[in-house]
Amino acid sequence: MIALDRVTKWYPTRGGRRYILRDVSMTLPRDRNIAILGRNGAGKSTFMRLVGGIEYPNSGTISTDLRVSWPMGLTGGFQGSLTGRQNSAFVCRIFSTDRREIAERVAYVWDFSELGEYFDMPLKTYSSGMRSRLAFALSMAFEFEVYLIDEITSVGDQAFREKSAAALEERRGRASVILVSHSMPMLRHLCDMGILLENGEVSAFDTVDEAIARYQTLLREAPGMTGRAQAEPPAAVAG
Amino acid sequence: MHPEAQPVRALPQRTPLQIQLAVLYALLVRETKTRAGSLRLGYFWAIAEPAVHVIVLSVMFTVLMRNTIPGVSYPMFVLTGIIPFFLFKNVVLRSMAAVQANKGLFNYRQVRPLDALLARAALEILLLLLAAVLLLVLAAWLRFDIGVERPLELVAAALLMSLLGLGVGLCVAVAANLADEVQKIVPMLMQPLYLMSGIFWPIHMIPQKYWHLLLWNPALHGIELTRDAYFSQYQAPAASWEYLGTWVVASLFLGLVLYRRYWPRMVAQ
Repeated sequence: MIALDRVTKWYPTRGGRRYILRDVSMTLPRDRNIAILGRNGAGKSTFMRLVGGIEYPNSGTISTDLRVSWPMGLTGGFQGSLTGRQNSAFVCRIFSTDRREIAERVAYVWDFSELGEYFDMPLKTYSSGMRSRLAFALSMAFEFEVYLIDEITSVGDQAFREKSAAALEERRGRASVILVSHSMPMLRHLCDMGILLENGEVSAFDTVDEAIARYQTLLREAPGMTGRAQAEPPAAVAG
Repeated sequence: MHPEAQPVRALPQRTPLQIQLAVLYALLVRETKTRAGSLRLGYFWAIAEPAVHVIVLSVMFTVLMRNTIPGVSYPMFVLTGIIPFFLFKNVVLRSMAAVQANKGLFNYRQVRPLDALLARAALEILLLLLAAVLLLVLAAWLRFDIGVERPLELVAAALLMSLLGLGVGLCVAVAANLADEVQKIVPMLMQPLYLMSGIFWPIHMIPQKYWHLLLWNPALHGIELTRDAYFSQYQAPAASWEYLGTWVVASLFLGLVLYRRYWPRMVAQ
């Protein structure tokens, strides 16, 4: 499980502190797949980064005895002048010191990403779709107990999307996922509980449907914000 | 499927030390490859830069300084000034840039800003030491006397200058993260420091009553100590190991305190 103990996280803004979490204590169970909901700017990604241990709360502690992945879908960790292979090898070297193991993991990434000869070209020659393929393949190359997925599976062409979904599905048998997505069908499909972030408060719901219902009420009550969240709800309910 | 591509399996448990070493190794390999590819002939420039300084300063001042440094050829005098100064300056500037340049990597929580900084500083030090060796070989080929008077002291001086670069670099890296202006100011300050560190003039050229205006500068101490160790006939009356050592310890201490206080802010996006 992942335990949050009196966690407070805020960002300084011109109008004072903007709270993402205000004195939140909760435990995220090991065996549940969790959907993270909230309006744009509510702090879904920050919540993910906090859980992943790459951002730190202003006060309180977050502890876990699980192997938690890095937030997947990020392409920021790539160096443009290095090739896909070199970038993959860097990540593999962080996780292993065994040469054979590293070669194996890199081969896995090469295989999964289906980048072909582009795998040996500098990253700066990649399209955004190719970058995402590499990022996804890399995150599938390691066995974690919890996968943090931030808006990722919408990448690549139809075939690659299906392949990613299948890989994720297979992994979900042994591990759990914490998912941020604006696609309600995907949240419903992959998750079995929901968490809603709202003004520094966190509410947990036993089913994704309850969480989505509450989220949509929230959007109807105060549709002030701009961006994706506002544009999409009616269409997304259908799934 | 690729013959080597095995299905995923659980990673073994590792101790914090194993993780630390794996991260440093991964970063060092990455920096080495990035540096080679960033400019055409990336390594060539790393070695050519100090060489260009030695040549230009020698051409400008050899005649002027002919009789001021008895027993020491002027190009060798400049070389023994440039290398320690570059050890300090380059490590500071590289360290400062390391955190910003590697921000994306902090998404892997094993990688911390200090790791990125250490990997960059280590590569820079290695490149400059390589440059020093190559330039000495070149000097020997050109029939300069490259004999070292006290090699251990020379190593100590180079080590202290590198550590001074690391300590100051760590301080400015944290400061640059708090205030962007630092990134502009520090390189600017390096210009006057270049002139004031005795790279191309010996301290005994300056009247003794003005020494106190120069001797606050730890780089000047490091450079004079390098020459004192290198040349049998060179005297460094004003330079002090204690003073340079104090700067090293103090800057490393301050840098680590600042880092410990502010590193979560350095990984935040």
